[in-house]
Amino acid sequence: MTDVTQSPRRPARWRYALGAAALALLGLLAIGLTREPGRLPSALVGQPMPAFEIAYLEREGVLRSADLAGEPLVLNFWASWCTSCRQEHAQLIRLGQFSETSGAFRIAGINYRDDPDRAAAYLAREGRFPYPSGHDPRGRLGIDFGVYGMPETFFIDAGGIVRMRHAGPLTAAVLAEAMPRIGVTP
Amino acid sequence: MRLVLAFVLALTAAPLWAGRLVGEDPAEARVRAVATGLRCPVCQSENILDSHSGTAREMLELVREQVIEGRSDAQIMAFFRARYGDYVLLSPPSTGPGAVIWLVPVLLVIGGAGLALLLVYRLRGPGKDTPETHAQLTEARLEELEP
Repeated sequence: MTDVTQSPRRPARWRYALGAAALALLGLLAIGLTREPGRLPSALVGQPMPAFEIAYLEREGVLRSADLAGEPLVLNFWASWCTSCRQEHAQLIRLGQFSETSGAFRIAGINYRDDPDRAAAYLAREGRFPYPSGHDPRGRLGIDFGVYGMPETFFIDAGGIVRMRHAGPLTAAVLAEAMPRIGVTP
Repeated sequence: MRLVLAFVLALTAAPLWAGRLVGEDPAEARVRAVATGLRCPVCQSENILDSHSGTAREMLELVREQVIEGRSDAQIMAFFRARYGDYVLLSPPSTGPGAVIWLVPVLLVIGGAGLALLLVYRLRGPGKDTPETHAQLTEARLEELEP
C-alpha cells in the first residue's frame, strides 16, 4: 500500500548502480569471448630451462641439456601424428641450416609421444632436420616443459633462461619476434 | 518390515567396504584425491583422473610415483604448478590475482544482502507503517493527483 503511493517519487539511484554493474559484467564477458581458451601462458618463461638427458631418436647416444648450455637454444617439440607440425617443417629445416651457417645458436628437436618407426617415416617423407632430435616416448620431458599441444617451440638464451614459448607452427613472423629475445639476429 | 529395511540398508551400504574388498592400497586414495585437483592440460575442464588422454595418464603416473616417494600433496601440486602454472590447478589459488575469483562471489552476496535489506527497510521501514504516516502520505499523494 505504502509502496504504491511512494514509488513514483523515490529516487532510483540504486537502479543506475545496478545497471552499471550489469554493464560492467557484460563488458567483462565480452572480453572473455575474444580470448582464446586454448592459448595458455607458459610457466617456464623467465625460468631456467629444465635439465634433461634423453636418448636420441635416430642415432646412438644421449641428448643432454648440459651439452647445449652456453649458447642460445631453440628447442622444438614435434611428433609424426601432429598435422600442424608439417606446416612448420620447412621453416625448421631453414632454421637448422641458419644455425649451422651462422653458428649463433643451437637447435634441437624433441620427438614427443611418438613411435620411432613412424617418426623415421615422417622424417623420410617430409625431409630430415639438419639437427638431431631426442626421443620422449612417454612425454615426461614434455610435462617438465609444461607442453600441452604439438608443436611447441622454446627459445632459451645463452644463460639457460627460457625467454619465449610458442605454441603452434613456427612462422617467419614468430621467429622475427623470438630470435632477438635470445640474442640472435634473424 | 525390519528385515526388509535391514536388507535395503545392507545393499546400499555395500560400496562402503568395496574398497577394502578389492584390497586397495591406501596410497591410491591419495593419488585420486590429488589427481582430481589437477587439470588435464590437453583437455577442456577435465581432471587428470577422469581424462583418458596420454598426457593425463602420464601425469597420473607421476602423481602416483611422487605419492609413493612420500611427497606431500602440496609438494606434488607445486611440482605441476611450476610446469603448467596456476592453470593446472582446478581450484584457483586463494592468494595473488586468483584471490579475486574467491572474493567476488562473497562481495556479491554481501552486496546483494545489503541491497535486499535496504529495499525491505524502504518498503516497510519503522514509522512508515503507522496509520498517521500512511494517512499523511495518502493525503500528500491525493493532493498531487488532484491539484
